Amino acid sequence: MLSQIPFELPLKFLPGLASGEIIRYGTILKHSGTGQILGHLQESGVAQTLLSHALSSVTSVTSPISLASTVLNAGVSVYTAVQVRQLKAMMETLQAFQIATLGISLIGVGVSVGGFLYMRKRFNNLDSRLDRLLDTVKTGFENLEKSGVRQQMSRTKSLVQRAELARTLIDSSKEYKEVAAQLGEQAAYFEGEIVHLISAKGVINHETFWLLAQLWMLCNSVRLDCQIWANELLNALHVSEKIAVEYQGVFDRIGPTSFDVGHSEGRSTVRFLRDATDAAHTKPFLLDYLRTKRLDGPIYIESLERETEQPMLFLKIS
Amino acid sequence: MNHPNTSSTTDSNSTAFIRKLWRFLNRDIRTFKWWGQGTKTSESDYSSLPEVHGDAGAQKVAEVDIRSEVDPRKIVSLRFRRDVLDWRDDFHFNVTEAASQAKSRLASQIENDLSNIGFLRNRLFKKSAREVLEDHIESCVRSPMRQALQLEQVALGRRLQGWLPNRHESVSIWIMWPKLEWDTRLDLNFTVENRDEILNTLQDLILGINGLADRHRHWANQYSTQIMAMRHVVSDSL
Repeated sequence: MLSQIPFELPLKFLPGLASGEIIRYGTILKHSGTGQILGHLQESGVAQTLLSHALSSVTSVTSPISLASTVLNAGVSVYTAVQVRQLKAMMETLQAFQIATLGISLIGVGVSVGGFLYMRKRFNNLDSRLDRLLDTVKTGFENLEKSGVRQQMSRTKSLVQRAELARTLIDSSKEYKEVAAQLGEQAAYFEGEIVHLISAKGVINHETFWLLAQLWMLCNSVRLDCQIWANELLNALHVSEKIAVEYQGVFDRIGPTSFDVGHSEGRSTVRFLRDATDAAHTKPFLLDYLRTKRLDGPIYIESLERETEQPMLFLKIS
Repeated sequence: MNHPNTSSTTDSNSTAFIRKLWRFLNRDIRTFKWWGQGTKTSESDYSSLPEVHGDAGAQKVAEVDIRSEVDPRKIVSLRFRRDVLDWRDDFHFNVTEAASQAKSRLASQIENDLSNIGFLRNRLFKKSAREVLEDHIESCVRSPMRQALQLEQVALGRRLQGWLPNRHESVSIWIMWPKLEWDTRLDLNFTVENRDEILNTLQDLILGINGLADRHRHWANQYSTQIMAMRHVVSDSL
């Protein structure tokens, strides 16, 4: 329940952030002098609803450089005036904390991206892009078995759907755990493809990489959410630590000039990957807080989903 | 009426004692009262607690602290790592851009020289590309690249100042400069006919694999890895 969880508005920390009194790492805000962790940034259900509509009308986002502006532009055309205001406010908050791309990506801000419906929409978006990419772009997929990739996509899609429907089962916890385990395998597949892609000689095909990276992160995000819904917080914590190390191992090898696109676009992609890695490193801290405070995973996510006004929240821990 | 102890009651007493002893020996050490708070306790550890029922039991379980599994000090090293990676990314970007601009400047200089080349120089008194390009390489490539690297050196020193106060001044970017004009690939005459070959060779030497920019990027990768391996960063955590 929201009343039980000490959420605050993140905007009140902006002056401290501007003065250097507060520093942000990943989704954690901490006091620069004492090093004390103040709390965690977290998106709410409102953010997912807003992004879900905006992103469903976007089909051409091929890199993080255009993501923020595309979402805003799409939002203006599909929303009511109130929603546009909310979307703009959310983007301003995300930009103020320098996590705009992260906030609207599949990583999400905080421990959970919450809505599986939103994740499925994002996945469908990626699915249509993959079809186009497999048919038109040869580079990067030359060594991939096309049918194999499609098969993995279908499997992942069905798992996201299972996660979405798991809540309606009598023994939903079991289903969440099973889906999480299988998504772990899917994540390993996409990770393997990324490693293969970046290990090849020469520059990396940016579009292929960006797509695979998003699929990898989607699998991991849904996987963690399933663990939280199953209230397996200790396991989720350890899984999230492992994920962070994997992101670091793969993404640290890439630089702004590694891709076959302009260096500015490469730089923006790499910045996103660094932010994603940082956010992944801070997830265990939030999960640990929920554990040690005996906050139930499902209750935590439900309280985020119930929030109707504020897209961004701050979970105060000290 | 008091009955004397029979062998059967003695047996049952000793059996009860053995059972108690067995249960005692099989108890999880963490369930003893004297076991301190530093003991690792997790959700799965609840199975080792005595079974309790009702509100009092729930309260008893709630009283057991769940030990944190994360170390906040880790954030300091992660932030340091990110700072070094940001420098490395900026270095890759800036140095590659500088090399790219240098190559463009050199290419336009070559175009200019070739368009003004006389018939005799182009046909009879040919000069080698190496000889002609020596000065151009210094002014168009080496000098601006040196400036770009100095800026990167300052940027790294500034970043490290907060983390490694005793080391930031010793930061120096030193790379063995490849003598571009000495490369055997430039062993060709500086003539209009060789224009494309000269330009392609310079493209390779500056921006290609193992070219000038690539060598710098490799150096930055190695240097940043060395910096990240340094343990004694200034901590901002208690």
